[in-house]
Amino acid sequence: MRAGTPAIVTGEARYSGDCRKEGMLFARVARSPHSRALITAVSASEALALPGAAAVLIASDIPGENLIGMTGKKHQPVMAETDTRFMGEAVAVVAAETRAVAMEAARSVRVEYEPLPAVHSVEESMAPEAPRLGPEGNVAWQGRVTRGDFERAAREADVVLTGVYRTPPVDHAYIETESVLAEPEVGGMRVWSSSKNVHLDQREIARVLGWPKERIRVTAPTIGGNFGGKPDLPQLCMAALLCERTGRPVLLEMSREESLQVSTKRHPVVFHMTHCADRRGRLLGVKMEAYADAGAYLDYTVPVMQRIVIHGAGPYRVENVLLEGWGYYTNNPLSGAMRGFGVPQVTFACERQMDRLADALGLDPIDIRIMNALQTGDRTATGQVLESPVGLGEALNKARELIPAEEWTGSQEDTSHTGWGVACFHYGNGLTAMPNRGTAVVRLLEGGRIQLAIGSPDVGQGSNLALGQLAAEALGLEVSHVEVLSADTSLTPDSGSSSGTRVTYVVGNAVVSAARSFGEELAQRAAAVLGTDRAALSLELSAGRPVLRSDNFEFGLAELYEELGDQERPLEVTGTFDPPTTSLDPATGQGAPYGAYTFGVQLAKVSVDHYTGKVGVERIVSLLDVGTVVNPLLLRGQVEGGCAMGIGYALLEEIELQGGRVVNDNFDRYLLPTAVDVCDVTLVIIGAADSTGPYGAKGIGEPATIPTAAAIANAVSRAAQIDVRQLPLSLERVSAALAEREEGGFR
Amino acid sequence: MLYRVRLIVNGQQVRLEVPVETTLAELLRDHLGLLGTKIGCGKGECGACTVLLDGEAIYSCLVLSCSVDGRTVTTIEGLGGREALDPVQQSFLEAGAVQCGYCTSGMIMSAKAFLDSEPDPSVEAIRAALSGNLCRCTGYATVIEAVALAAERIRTLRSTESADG
Ligand code: FES
Ligand code: FES
Repeated sequence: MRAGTPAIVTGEARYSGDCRKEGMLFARVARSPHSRALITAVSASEALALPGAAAVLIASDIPGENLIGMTGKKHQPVMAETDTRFMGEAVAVVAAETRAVAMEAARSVRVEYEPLPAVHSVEESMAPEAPRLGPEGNVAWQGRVTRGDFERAAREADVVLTGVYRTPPVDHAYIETESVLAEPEVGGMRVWSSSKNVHLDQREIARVLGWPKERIRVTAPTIGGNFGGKPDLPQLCMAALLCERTGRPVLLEMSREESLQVSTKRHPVVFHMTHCADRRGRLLGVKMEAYADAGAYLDYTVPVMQRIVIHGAGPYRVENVLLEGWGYYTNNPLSGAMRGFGVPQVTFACERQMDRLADALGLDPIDIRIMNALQTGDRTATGQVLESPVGLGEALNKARELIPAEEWTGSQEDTSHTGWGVACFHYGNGLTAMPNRGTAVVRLLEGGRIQLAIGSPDVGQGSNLALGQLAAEALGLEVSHVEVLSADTSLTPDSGSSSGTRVTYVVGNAVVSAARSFGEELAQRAAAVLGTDRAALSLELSAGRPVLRSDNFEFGLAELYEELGDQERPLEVTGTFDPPTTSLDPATGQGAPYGAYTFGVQLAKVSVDHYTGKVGVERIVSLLDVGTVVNPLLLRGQVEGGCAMGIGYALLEEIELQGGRVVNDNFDRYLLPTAVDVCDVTLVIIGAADSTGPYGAKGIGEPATIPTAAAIANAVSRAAQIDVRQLPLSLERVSAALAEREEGGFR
Repeated sequence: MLYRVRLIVNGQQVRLEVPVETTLAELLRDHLGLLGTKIGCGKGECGACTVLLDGEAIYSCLVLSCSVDGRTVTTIEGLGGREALDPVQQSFLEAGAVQCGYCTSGMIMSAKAFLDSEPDPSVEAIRAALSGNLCRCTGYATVIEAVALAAERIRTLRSTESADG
């Protein structure tokens, strides 16, 4: 079921940092030691004079535009020219014969700074006296989703419950740090990037070099994890700039310390929530104000904030919503996309509110969710009618059955408390409220081989295998008959990024469409060659190999390929899919932002040590409506990995910033879950085929991690009888809450 | 300053001169081209650089090359090629324990050393043995299953060998 990884277990797989080329230079970035400063002078002469130094580049050396960005808005420089806006921002980049010389040269670049007052929190950024940080002021994004009349709902409600919730900045912490290799190629350049979107990389490099993009070929080698993070666009472009300048291959690696300091983080957000309900627990209205730290440049703040407001009422039927969000610029490291695009944060806030509401009304946490869960045919907060089957209610009912009542209640002993918590989520598949076409190409190659080509990289989650399976299914063949090639701008079409849980759903639909047309094309060509009727031929397996078969003969694909004229080779068919979405009304946020939604419920069982505050996660049950399952083993891998990441988010992880400096800049102090911190995860698949997904499939990449921290926070709150409002649930935070409870401060 | 080092790496004698600050991980990757050994933190925290030194699992990013002069090193490349996978490699593949694979070499080397000393481990013992290797993708469950599977496989191999012998 798992294919294509023997090269990994033998150590032969090559990641971008493993690229070694004849005459290769090593590069290193000179970075700003200030969070905010004017650059008054830069001198490269000392660095260049070092024996073995090959080149030093600064912003003014950039031949094209010094502007890059992950989305349509380009406002981050590759290297700072006049001022730096976050600590670690690139100011110069050097290339040298050895790593050691590169390091020394980077240290020898003389930059004079005039430090400026810096802003390190949303509160500071909002203050009237705050320095102006962004092109249009300090608000990077603001927007809302509103429907019905929240104020009236609040007046008519039996309970109005407010709460403030905080989530920390965290890092993707892929075990492979960012590395890029750029090498000259006849007529242009080849770049190896561990990216989620090689076609975006190509466009960004082209703009920065001032080259036509056709001269640049970007390929993703094996990728050591992504989770929404890589590439680091400045790094990508700096490697290309050095390659252009020196005419030699250049490897630019990042140390873990650099990666933790300068790579993008999951947005830290403060939520002000108000939930209104009637006496029975039926939700009447939800209001949210979400304030996020965007960091120094825009990066992915727009789509993250859009997701936060769209998902702000949770997966519940609520007629009256007022969901507002703001992203503020600061001089902290950039916030970007990380597995869930804002939804892990908003799920924590919403799901704590649901539990507190249940408590306030004397209801069971599962019951109140069952009462309010979105069902097929309901409208979401953006007014989108859910036409495909919604498995949320079924998942909640199943959750109720799985946990015996006496266990569900939990227990409070002197030294240790245990209990279960629940959290629900929904997650729109694909990019938000915009066209995001997926494209796939299927080719017939020499020897009758069938190749599926897609631009979206396999970032380690196994998308090449899943997409190969979809193609095989559409062709009526086995997955072993489809060679999958991904992420090469010269050989694969632009299928968009491997992010936003769009690969299975969006690209998968394109794959199925391409494969079907390809099968038809094969049959027609064969019919023409053989002078038979198309209807008499079908693509089938014969003795384990694909053939076109009629009643009385078989025609092999290798033979068909031989019969094609030179012009026709390789025979190639393209398929596309653009999910049925609309833009959102700018005033109300109403519309249909996604073609499909993944739904789910997670249960977490925790133990809380009364004295140390240590939380152990003992078991997780994940009940998911992902439509049709494409590959059970890959699904399991996503869910278990997502739960582990969620355990880290709930209990361990927080980027600690002091004046914009990441204090915990390696894994000795930025703690990730290890094999002893995780628990058994039971996966329960719920629901029916989606009406728009490929064979009814929906995505799981991000949903896998979205509810975990919320479920754990609810479990800890119930078990220890404390009221969790902030992540992570560190020892200090939990023991302080327990101490406060002892003093009678609770509720 | 260059330092002369002699090692036996994956069964081969190697002699080379490296700058004195060169770690074993750098020696393997940059001087010997054994790029299957990864560097994830450079600080003895992630385990991606795990190799066997005289049969014992160590973080090669923490070891200076000059301090291991004369000793025997096994890397992932020294286990088995594609045609003859080691039982641990085989089990990682079969159990679905590989996603991005960046942690995998280190995991396999840790598992290898562990199973040499503990042929019939409990799940808890496997967990503990792997706790020095970080994986951001899998959530560890399939990795733990892979190690249990490998243990079983090795035991079966040994019992057939001894039956044969
Ligand atoms: S690279 Fe050696 S332990 Fe992380
Ligand atoms: S498989 Fe990606 S880090 Fe382990």
